[in-house]
Amino acid sequence: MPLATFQSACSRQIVKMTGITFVDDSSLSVTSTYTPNATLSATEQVRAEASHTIQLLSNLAQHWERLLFSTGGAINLQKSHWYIMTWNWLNGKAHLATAADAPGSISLTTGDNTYRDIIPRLAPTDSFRTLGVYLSPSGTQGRQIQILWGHADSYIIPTWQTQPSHRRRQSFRILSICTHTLPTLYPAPCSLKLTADT
Amino acid sequence: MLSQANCRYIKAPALAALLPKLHINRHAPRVVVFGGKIFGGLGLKDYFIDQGYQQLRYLVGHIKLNDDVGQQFLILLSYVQLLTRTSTSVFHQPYQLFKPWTEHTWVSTLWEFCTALKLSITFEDPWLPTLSRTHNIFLMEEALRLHLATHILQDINQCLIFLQVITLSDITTVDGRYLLPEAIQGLPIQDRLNNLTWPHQQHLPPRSWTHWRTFLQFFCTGNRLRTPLGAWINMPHQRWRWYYNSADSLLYHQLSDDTWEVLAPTYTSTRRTRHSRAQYRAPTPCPPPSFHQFFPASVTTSSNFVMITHSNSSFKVPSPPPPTTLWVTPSPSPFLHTPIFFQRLIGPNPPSKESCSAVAEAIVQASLIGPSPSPFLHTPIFFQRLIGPNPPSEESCSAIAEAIVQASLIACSDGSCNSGIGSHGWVFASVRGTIISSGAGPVDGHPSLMSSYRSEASGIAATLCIILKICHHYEITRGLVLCYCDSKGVLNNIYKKCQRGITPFLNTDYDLVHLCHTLLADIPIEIRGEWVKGHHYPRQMEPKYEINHLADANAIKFSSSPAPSFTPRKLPLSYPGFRVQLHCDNSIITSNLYQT
Repeated sequence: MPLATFQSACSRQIVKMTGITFVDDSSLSVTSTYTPNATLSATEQVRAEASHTIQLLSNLAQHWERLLFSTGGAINLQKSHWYIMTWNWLNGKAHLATAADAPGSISLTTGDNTYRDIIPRLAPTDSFRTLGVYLSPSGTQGRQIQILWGHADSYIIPTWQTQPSHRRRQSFRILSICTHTLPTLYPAPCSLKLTADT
Repeated sequence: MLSQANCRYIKAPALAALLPKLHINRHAPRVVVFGGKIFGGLGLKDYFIDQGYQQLRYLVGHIKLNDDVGQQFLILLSYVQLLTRTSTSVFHQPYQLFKPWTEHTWVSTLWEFCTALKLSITFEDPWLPTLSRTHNIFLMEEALRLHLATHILQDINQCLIFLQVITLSDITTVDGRYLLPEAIQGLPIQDRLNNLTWPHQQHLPPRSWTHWRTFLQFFCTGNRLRTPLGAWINMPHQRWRWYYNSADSLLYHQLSDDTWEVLAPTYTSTRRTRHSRAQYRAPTPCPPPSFHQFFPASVTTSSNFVMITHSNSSFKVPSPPPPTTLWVTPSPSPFLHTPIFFQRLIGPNPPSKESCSAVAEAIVQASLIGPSPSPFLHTPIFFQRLIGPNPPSEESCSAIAEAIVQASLIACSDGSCNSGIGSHGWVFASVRGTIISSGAGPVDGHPSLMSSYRSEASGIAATLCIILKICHHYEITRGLVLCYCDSKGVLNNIYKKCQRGITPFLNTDYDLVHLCHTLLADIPIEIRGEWVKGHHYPRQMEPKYEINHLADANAIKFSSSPAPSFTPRKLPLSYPGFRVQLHCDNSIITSNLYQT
């Protein structure tokens, strides 16, 4: 069974995981086990490695679907998504590859249906909502920041319009922004590891 | 993670609306707005500080819990440490210094936050690169010392990742005199294997290698080192493929499939001169050689000869430091590191080592100081401080052991805290109230974090430590001890089952509570924690009240006049198995992390 393996520089710590589930939310992950082929160019190497890893994730996801179905569950494939993190090299610097750089798709069968449904793919820089926060595989928090700023902005509009007599109440209302937004500022630090990467 | 600028951006509209409503100028200094109330500030929460605090909570909690997330933190940390290439932990270094070539990760954000707040994090057993030879240097530290431009530092860093090297010895020949040709040309080093897992780095542009070669010329002339490297002092992170046995001139070679072969020399003539040449032929399989006996070597093959170069010493494994003790002073000579003032005072002929031991024996016989009790012979220095200067004597220990087996032992501990100075006392007695042993010890910690809670927890830890030592020494596997304490809060936190998750690891004085949990798990007998009313003088004095008064008196007495080696320390010693600690103001943060 493919796994996501994380190893420390000195090999003292090794963590292997298939995925993490939280109630009805499941994340599966794999890391690349590709052996480089010296005859391929750098671009071909990236594509070959991406293709290999997508195949591993596809096998794992189908296995998970079968397990769920045989125990009475089901996956809503249109609510699911997948992404891959692989890199292009330019002047010795790594850049996250886009879908065009590392093409591929994952399609799964569900239940008794023999037709394969395609799972939507996300770019590494896209954000998706999970457990109240917007995460991006690349680690960018632009969307999360905009959403939090929007919360703060929407809170202050009624505050500007209030009479001075209501000052105290409204001040506390603004202070509640702290309690409202703070919990959503801290996504679980390792949640990026839950999904497929290479 | 969000940067400080991002956090300011999010809270800007809220602050712009809130401050005028509070009748405060919206341009009021943020130091006042976010400053603590005890300093006259408004006490509003700063998102960046809160984010850093939550990150610290995650890190400390999960590493102490030793779960998968904690392991992943350590994995990430090991890579940050590898890529900074310094001999000290990254959290003890200023982030700004290493920022040019450190990748932006979760750990680096936390590192930046810790640097800004002058916090440092200590891990129990961190992986740190070491210098393997004398005259060796860390290459990135050397580049920093040269005050090179940021883009040159980044180029050098990428070259180091490509070559998979940390120190100068990683790119020098085995005799420590020349740079390896691959290192200069920018090719992977073929004849050495790496024990470390490195991040992938593809080929670099010629500009990077030009900067690299210019950098190398700061300590080399051509390919020759200005200061040749000396003997091996540590195990290197590289593994050699060739080893040379100087006694019988055998050559050991590691093949690509990790098996080893040995090559014996054959000479063309029986008469050996300095001109005679050995031929190495017919390799035979062999087990891996001992790296501490043989010399690492390199073998260069040419068209008509094979050149063997080897080091003049084998790898050295650093010996562990000798055990230190507060209870006895087994120094080889008491006058070894005497300051010059006292040397002059004592004169040219201090007492010899034999005279010193004779005097020490006489002092022991005169019972001025007691001999070290046997159950406490090899006690780590942390527990020596915890138990205090007067651990139970050998007779007391055997009496305690007997009472444990008969389930007739009671123990009591009490703490004292006065003006930031803490101490604790402990008493062991029989159920009838006969005192077997009693003592007191210091409570280490920052004075502003010192509390009676910490003193009480320290007293329980000392009691449990003594019980554990005696149980191990006398091989006791069954028995019962009633441990009294006059603090219900401490008793609840120590003797009740702790919550799951990371929250318990951030409670007040969790270092001592965690230590007590560890000791309780190790003690093979039953321990019952019981509450006793402190400073209580009923008409009918029960033994538990008497020993509580004695423990209290011991703690107060110790607090007023501590023994010389046991004065309370601002920086507590690290207890075995602590995993991770937060430091601030030269002390360990044991409580009130957010306020600190």
